[in-house]
Amino acid sequence: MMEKSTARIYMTGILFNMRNISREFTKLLIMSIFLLILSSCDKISYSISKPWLLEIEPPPGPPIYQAAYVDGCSLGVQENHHNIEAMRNSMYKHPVYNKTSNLYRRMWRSAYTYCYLWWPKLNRNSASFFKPSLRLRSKGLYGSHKWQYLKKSPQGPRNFRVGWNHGCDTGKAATGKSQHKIKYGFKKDPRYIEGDKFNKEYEKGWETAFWYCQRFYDIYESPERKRLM
Amino acid sequence: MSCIIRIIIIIFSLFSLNSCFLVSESLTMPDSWNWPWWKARPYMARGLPDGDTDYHRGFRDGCQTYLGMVSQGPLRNSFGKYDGWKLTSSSMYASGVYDGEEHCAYIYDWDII
Repeated sequence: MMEKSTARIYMTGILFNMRNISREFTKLLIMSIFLLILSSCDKISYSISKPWLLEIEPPPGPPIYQAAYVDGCSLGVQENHHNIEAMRNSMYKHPVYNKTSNLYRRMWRSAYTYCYLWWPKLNRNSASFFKPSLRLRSKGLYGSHKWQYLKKSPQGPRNFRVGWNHGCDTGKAATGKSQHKIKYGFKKDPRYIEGDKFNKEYEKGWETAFWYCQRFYDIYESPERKRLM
Repeated sequence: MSCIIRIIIIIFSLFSLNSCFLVSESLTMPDSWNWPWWKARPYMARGLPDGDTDYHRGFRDGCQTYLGMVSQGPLRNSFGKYDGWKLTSSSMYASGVYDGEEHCAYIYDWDII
């Protein structure tokens, strides 16, 4: 009697398994490619979220304060060659207020600088999903003097310290990443307006801290300038 | 003739020695800065003001603060020190701070805004 061969059945089983394996492999491959593609959403989220987060609406305050914010910010945004905003060509500076009001001039300058610095950071951030930064950020180590100034003002009068905190938050928002822009924003408290100008101590603290924190984050956060760290 | 040549060579040597001043200036810090000998110093930072007025003190504070921010290596350990009391009361100190910040930041980082 001849025995029936089981080779064919056996081979079919292997082929069946191989087909299953290749199907699983294909699925995994597709999923990996999708994940890679999704990593670019990081960039999209930046370019979508950032312009929406810029506060073109002025903070609450007196009319001149608000007008100065809108004028300064509009020009700052426009001058930074953003494609859409740059189409609106005009000088945003009120001719009368600019001559007569010190408050308008100071506020205009602050808003202009804030919004001017806000835009160039749009395309700076590279996709970070697959590129975790393992670098030791020695400049930002907690407990260091440099870090303390980002969190807490130096010794000085109360108004100076409040101005420092507000200026630093504004500087962080101007140059930081989206997470900073969500957390911080333009902050210059109209309660410190005295007559036609801001309180001197408040203004001094605000200006010094704005540039300190803006420059700190400029180096700390921007990929092409990290070589300085 | 050889005497004239010698004199010319000596005069030229004296002229070239003049540049040693620049070298020493780039290797040492002004006295009033009280810069410890073991501490790193800014590369090629010449012409830093030496004095003890409010302006000079402000310049030192502003410069040291920004050196810690923009420089590399051991100079990063330059701690910032602002005096808020003086910054609000003395315009000379404030001017010094802002000048020191600008001056020392741009020694290292030309791209800073």
